[in-house]
Amino acid sequence: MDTDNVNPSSSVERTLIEVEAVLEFAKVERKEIKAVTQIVHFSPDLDNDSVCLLELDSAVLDALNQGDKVVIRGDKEDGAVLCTKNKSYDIKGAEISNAMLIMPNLQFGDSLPEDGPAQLQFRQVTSTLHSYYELRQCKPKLKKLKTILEENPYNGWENEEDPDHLGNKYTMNDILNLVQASEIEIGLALEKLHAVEIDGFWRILDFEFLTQVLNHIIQMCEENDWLNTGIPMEECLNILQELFPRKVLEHIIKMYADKVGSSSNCEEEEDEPLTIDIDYYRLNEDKICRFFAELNLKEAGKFNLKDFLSVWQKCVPEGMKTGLYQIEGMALVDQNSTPETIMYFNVADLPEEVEGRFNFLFRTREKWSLEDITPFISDLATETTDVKALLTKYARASTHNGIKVYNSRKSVT
Amino acid sequence: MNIYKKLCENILVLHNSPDIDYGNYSGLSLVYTFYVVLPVLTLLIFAGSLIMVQIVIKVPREDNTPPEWAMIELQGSLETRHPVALNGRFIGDLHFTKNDVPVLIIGHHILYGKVVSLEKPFAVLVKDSEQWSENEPMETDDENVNKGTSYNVIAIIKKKLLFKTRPKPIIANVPKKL
Repeated sequence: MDTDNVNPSSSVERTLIEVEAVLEFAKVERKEIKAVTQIVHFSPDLDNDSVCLLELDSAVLDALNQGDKVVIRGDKEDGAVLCTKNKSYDIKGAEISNAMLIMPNLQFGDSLPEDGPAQLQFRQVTSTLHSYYELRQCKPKLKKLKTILEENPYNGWENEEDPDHLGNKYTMNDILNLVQASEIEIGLALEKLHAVEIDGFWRILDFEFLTQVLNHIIQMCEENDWLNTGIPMEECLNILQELFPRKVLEHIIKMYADKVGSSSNCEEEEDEPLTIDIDYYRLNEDKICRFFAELNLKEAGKFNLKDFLSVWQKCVPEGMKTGLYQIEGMALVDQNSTPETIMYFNVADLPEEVEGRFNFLFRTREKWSLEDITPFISDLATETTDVKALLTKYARASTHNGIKVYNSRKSVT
Repeated sequence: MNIYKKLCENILVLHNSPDIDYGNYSGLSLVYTFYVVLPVLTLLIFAGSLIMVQIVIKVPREDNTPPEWAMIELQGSLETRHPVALNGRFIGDLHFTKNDVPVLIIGHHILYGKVVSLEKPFAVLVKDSEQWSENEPMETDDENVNKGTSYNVIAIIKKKLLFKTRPKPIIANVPKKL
């Protein structure tokens, strides 16, 4: 008997006789229960402080099991955000009044034998906890990425030493330390911001600088009939590299032009069938038009719509056709004013979190049609909450002159 | 938050069990409370170390899949009648009925519980005392990560025994010292 009731790892002693006695007092019959009784006791090394519980969803669990990187990101002001390779989660602490006893070796009923001689097994509780951390998948918090990159936009190599351009520059690792989003989400955001890695630092391009480079590229296109044939990347880089870094040029061409496939260019001389692969890029009409719209709107702020449309069409390269659909999410047309106006209003500059976004939108305009508001909230939609659901939650629908419009649910601050 | 805490304390006192001496038992009693348990969400301050740094959470390399541990969840908290350390103390006897219903006897209380599979499992995290290690050839630009804190997932908890019904007192005379 002695070997059974002394727990090797603790001073806890408990005998079958004691257990049986308690069962009797409790009026639990031996035949109702399984033969193994687990004696639950605190570990001599009970430690409630160095252990914490984190509630996982299956995606995070898989990531951990596969050895993928799972990190908590943030700084002093922000809450903590847990990021896997491709998802972000808010971390919240939850306190409960229940006690959670952590047990490394507890056995559940289904793993205990049905019958057999009564026996005791000692089971340690290594920690008692009243709190855990839970994860809520969230939208990546990317506003900060834009903010930090705007500290020092790239403005060409000759300006790098300028006092204006000695601001902070950020490597990918700096960004990962500062921005609460997963690597893939950050990658997508960098792409959206048209950022480019120059000498190891991620930079966004100064708008004026971008305009300058793009004008050179377009001019080359017009001179060489590349608008039709596509831009031969290598040739174009070779010509313009005197003025701008190749990396930046290539980045801008890829931003505004689409690859039309490489063609094998066979030299005519038959004795030397030299084959060179040339990558051709054709300027993307919508993107180029959008760029010129931004150029005009940014300068003017508010425009007479009719004037804007005509100026805009005149700016774009010959053969390209402008259309308002190209500037979705970047401009706001006011059809109720006389004359009709258009103003610069870029979704990228709007608040990132849902409530702030709606507040800002309703401050800008009291009533929105579905068509008008969609470009300014569609980036907030998630798999489970689409644009309509967002509007249901944050806006109130009414009919105005036969058109369904949305206004704020609460007073705009 | 303060009000909530205060409320809890009051309830704890209200429901504090009358003392029944169980002879040579440890004097441990289950203090139980009855009200809807609402998790109080507080902002996380992860060991106070959230200063512009990434905290890595990882499964230690040696055991690629962490072991599965278990949990007993009790309504209330375990306290001793005297302010002594709980280390090494006996808590109670855990039985399973033939139908695998867990029965826990703590002091003069008997509790019937159930086995709950956690929809979202818990990772048991322990701060990694060692420096971030050796067998991971990190890219050079990850130096900051090396210096950062990291947590090891030492186990995963997928199932718990939940005792949420009101404990039934065991009405008995003080047992003779055995």
